[in-house]
Amino acid sequence: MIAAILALLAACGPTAPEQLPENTERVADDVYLFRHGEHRSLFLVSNDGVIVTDPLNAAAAREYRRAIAAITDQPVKFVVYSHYHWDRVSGAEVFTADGAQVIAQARCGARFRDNPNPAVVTPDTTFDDRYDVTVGEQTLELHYFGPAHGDCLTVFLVQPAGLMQIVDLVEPPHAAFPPDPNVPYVKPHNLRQFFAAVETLVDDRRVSQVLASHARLIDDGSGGQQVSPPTAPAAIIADQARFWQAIYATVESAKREGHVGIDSFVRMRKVDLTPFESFDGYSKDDLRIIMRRFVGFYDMGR
Amino acid sequence: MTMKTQALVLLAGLLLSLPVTARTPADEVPLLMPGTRFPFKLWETEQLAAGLYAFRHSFYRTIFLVTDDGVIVADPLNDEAAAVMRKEISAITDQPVKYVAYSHSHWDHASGGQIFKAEGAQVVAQAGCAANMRENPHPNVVPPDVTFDDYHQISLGDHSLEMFYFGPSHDNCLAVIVANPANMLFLVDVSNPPDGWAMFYNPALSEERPWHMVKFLTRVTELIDERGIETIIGGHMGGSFDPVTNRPTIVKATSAPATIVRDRLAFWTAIIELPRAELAAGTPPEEVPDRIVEKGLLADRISGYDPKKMHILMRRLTSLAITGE
Repeated sequence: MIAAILALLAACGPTAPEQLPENTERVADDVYLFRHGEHRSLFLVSNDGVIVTDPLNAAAAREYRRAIAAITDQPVKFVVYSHYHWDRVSGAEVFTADGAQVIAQARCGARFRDNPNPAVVTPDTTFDDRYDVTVGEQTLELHYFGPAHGDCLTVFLVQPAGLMQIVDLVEPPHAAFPPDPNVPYVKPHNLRQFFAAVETLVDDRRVSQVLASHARLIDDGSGGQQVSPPTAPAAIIADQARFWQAIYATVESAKREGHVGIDSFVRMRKVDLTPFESFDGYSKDDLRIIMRRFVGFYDMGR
Repeated sequence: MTMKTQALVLLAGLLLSLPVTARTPADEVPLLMPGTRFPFKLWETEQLAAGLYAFRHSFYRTIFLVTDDGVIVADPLNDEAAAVMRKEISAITDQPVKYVAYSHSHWDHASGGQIFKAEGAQVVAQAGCAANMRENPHPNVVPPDVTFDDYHQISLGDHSLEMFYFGPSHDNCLAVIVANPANMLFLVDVSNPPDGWAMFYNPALSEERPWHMVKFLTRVTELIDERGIETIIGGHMGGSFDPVTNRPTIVKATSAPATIVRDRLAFWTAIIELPRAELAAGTPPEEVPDRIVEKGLLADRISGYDPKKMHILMRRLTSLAITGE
């Protein structure tokens, strides 16, 4: 009888603490976001260990470990990198020192070899297109659809919760202009294909929510500010795709009609701004700079 | 064989040894920018050394090597430029083009190779270029027949083009090309004559791999030293700045002393260090570009310094310091 009760308890998964650490948000059963400064990082808790995603940096990772310890006494078994940018993936040593294994897409592994940083632990395991990280009853699905934001951005999918995280590229609460109009990490040669593949995955797997990877101060609607929400409906992925499609379409049209100057800037007086006005962070100046990047793409193919 | 027949054979032989196509007289080449103060022709072929020619079309430049055993062309540039270049080559030799060597994968340099492929040329490129062209094909870009990882040499007679790959720089497959025996360096889009300290055309550095530029340029300067290379050929007729007025101007910039590569290395080292130092001093990342521009750092050192461009550049390099890319 006691064994049956224990088995039942185990099947129910780890017990969620009544009070979460201040820097932690529960987004589904045993699925959390750790918040540090302007960043958020996804982690999954099971009765057989914990899966952590981006450790952010050493100081953040130490807080991260404390936050996890307040929820479970299970060890961190895996650290999964979303991509290769140091501001997301530094500090994993806090977890690997306790035995965690690091997983990343293969192109991330190659970049860490080409451009090493002592604060970044190189991956123990790499994958090409698909990989499942499973601990106990939790699985984090890793999907790679080619260069998008950097060369190795990995889409995280948590089932059955129907949660997706696309770090740095799709952020709650709404589809938006990119924070840096120079878009140094956007890869125009594959961005359309990337979003098409993500949208197919969203439909096929009935993804309902997209998870934040950042925590920014936004307008609270009453003159004050609030931290951006941890989740948003998955429909914002399609909205963000529409933003980029509008960029492609506008630049294609400007090139076809001779509205690109010798300086590679699109002549803004010739641009229909309507498709862009509804996006958060709308800025005509930023739009001009973003479109110059895409003029370069149409000239050079990269 | 009669005297008349002998004369005809002699004449036929003479005709065969002459170029198939007459070169367009310089005064018949259209102007690139008619109605402006700039006198440049739409295209131009210049002999730089025995067998080595620079061909410019619009603002783009490539090189070709003429030997008794065939011709080696570097970038074909585009369909129109390649067709003109083919005529220019024919005016110099009746040898076929046997090789096309891509400097990198960008379409604005690598398009137009069909005309050479059609006469049997083999296309050579670094392996990363082939991958780029597979990933994002273009109908006017001929994919390479031959690829290499770190080094490749194309030899015809006593001439050769050596292609070195030193890792990502401008593009992820840019080859550093040495033309022999002239011992001249053809380095496209990285360090264009005449000035190694020139501000970028696009300070957002969309096509650069800034995280590897210092390492890359260090290797190029080592190659220059090892080979005793004295001259660099530029991939563009480009913008420069009048040394007196500092106003933008256009210079032909066919070649320059190879020392400008060392200057470019110093330039990259300096601009990357600026945001790093500012961040290390505790300046919040979002304020770094403002601080650097306010202080006028490197303003008197960078040719064509423009505070707006510098702000964009520093924003980009602050991201580099934070993300590693």
